[in-house]
Amino acid sequence: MTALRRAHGLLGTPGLIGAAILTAVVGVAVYGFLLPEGAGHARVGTPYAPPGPGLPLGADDLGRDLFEQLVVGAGTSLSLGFLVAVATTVIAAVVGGAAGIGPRWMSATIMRGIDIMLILPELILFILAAAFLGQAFGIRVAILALILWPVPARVLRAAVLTAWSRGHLEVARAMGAPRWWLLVRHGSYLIGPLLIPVFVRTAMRAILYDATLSFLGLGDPTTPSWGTTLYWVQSNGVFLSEAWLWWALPPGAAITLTVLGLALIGIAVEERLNPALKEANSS
Amino acid sequence: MTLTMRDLTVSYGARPAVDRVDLDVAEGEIVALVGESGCGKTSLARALLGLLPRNAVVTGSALLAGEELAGRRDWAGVRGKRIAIVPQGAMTGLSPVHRVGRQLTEMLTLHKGTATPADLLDRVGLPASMLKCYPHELSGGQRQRVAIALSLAGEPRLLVADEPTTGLDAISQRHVLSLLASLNISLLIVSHDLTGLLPHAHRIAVMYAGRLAEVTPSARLLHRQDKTHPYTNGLLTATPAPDRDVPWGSIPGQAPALDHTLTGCRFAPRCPLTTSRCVDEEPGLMPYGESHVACHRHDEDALPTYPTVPRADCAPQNIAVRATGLRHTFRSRARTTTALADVDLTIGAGEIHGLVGESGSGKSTLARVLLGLIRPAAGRVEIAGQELTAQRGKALRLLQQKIGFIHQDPYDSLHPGMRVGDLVAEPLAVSKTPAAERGDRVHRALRSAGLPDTPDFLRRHPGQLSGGQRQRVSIARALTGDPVLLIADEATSMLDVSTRAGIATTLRTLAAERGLAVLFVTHDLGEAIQSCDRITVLRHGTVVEHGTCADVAGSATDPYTRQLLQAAKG
Repeated sequence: MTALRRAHGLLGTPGLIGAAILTAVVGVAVYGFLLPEGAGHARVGTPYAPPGPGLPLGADDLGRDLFEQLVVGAGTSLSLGFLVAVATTVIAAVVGGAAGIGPRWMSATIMRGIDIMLILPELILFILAAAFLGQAFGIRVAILALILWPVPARVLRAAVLTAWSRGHLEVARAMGAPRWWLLVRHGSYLIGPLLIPVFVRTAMRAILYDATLSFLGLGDPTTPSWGTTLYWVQSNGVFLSEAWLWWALPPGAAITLTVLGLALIGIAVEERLNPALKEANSS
Repeated sequence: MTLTMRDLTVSYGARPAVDRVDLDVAEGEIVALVGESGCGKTSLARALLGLLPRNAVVTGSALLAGEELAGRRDWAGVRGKRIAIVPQGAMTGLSPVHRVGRQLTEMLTLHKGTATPADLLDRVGLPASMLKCYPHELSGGQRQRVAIALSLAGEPRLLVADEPTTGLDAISQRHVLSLLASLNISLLIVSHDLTGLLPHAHRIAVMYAGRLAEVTPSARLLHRQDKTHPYTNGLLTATPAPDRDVPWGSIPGQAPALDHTLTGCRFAPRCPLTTSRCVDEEPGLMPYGESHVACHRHDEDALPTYPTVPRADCAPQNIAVRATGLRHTFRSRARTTTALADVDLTIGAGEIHGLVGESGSGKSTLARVLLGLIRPAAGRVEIAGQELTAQRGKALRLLQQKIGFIHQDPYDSLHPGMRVGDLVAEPLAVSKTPAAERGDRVHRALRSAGLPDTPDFLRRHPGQLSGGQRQRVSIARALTGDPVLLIADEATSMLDVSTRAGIATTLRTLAAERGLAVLFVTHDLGEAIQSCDRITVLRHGTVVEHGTCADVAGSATDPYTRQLLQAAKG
């Protein structure tokens, strides 16, 4: 009970709802990893079978179990989101930190580079890169990480600059402390917590973009994922029949729920950490 | 009577911040409400205008010409029109995107004032040409005048000014106060600056821990011939006079926090005249001649004595710091600012050197050059015989370890997540001193800075310390590295007036006992004259006055220094 109350104090009601949603999705994904090899690929029923015993969500045009596709897809989406978020956060921290504490020329070069990255349309860039470089899981992760780092890098550079203007950091600088000491001892507690919303928001966008890619038929057609299921929905004209209810709705709802859960956590954490938002809410 | 307060009480939760205050402001009278921070004076001012946060409860009565202000909900036609406020930091609250004239017009429309914007500016002594200016084009003092003009738009009967001089340099402070005094309306000025207000106010109300300690005509305090409440006495002696013959004292201890249950006289724990009666029984505000004093021992002859800053005779010693020909400019896209133009400075071992100047005079830049944080465009700095400005990287950091730094802001200069023990030991960790030596040196530094070195104190976080204690932790931290030079950058400016002299005393002891060279940066010439051996006055990056304290106080040659002296005298 006290643990719950502490979590409530930390995240607030929306944040807790987000955490609950995400936990449920992770649970489903773990269950998906435990399913036997071939789950979601194998033909187990008659094509276009409606929901019935053994097939909770029916089967697709090739007779593959739609429920298994949904469960396995959760694992694909979440692991992609997680890996992209880790990679992006690391890149953003290194680049943003270098722009914050590096010499002026380095900072200027990095910031102009970020500005250029920011005006490129992310989704179109991702679709084009995936179309040319291939659709393998690892390649998609790499492309997304390389596309998504500029915004977080800007945020982290600003955090570094704020930390550098703090009194205790200036005192430490005046006592002859080296830069790594300043960053580890004095900067980390100011910058570190900001990595959480960066992480969560990147994971959210990565899941959304990857589903979009699969929906357009540019994803990996051999691995079940929510976006791939939706692609087959589109190409089979499912929306013209009543099958959309068990074929199109579940993956769509799964994407919406996961993104919603991540967004709720991200906003809750950010509101508690970002000093400007904290001030705006309290007054 | 314009304003009559009776039993006015403001509580946040269970504890009152303002406790049963009775105070009047007569027509055209200027009443100054003074006290340290946290004594409830701002709460009282805001209660009069209904500007308190929602959790505050106001009881009692405050009648403004027949209208009840306490606990009022409908402020239309009252706030701004009958009673107006110049809020704390009003000059930074002007809209940066509207011209001054436009902002004045807005206020006039809002309160249906009959004056023209030019009239309002004229009343605060500004030319009508400033109507077309944006706030950033004006100086701090001019912006504060505009803020006062805004509050006059509704032609209020009573003006409440909350800390109207905070953030202004000494000379503008005096100008703003004399402007307020010349407005010819009833004024309630809330301030921590008792001496500054004495020449302008008619009556002084001294507040301590939510209660009025004394209400007295200011003429009685100005000449200091009569007996006052011990707290008033303490506040007077704690304000540094620009005269070496007037002692500078401090009130021991600190003002009680709101969450303390108080019995007896609230000032008893800090009062030099406390008896057992003071501890048990709360004194009421009793009339004595023209004044009202809340003190059991007011009719006795005993005078309170407060610890004062010791005087030292400056014997010339070895030069510890020598800076010659320092120049520095800051460049931004639009303009270049000369922060230092050919500044020389020497500080002997055991000497406290005062560096005085207003904001923008280059004093902070000079301090940062000596700390090795800013590389000057030209000039040399020698510390203990070693050249500082040419050093880079590791050599610079090794030299920096010989310099102690006390930052201006005690609330930002201590890492909030570190304990006192770790904070004070940080210079030792940076200089890789063996762990076995550290404990001993931390204890010695804490004792030298006038702090306890108990295990309990070492485990505390900065959040559990008062402002004065934090600044002493900062001093202890600066001492652990066994520095040859201590740089105190406005180290007392954010502290309560009652604790400032205590910090200065500690610095004096350190300079004398350890042979430390101390650079005492301050904007308050009085404070420098009281606590330093020699003084350098900076203005626009050049040295305008230089000499021993007695010379600067007695026979300053530069007109700017004379202005500062005049301002410090009040």
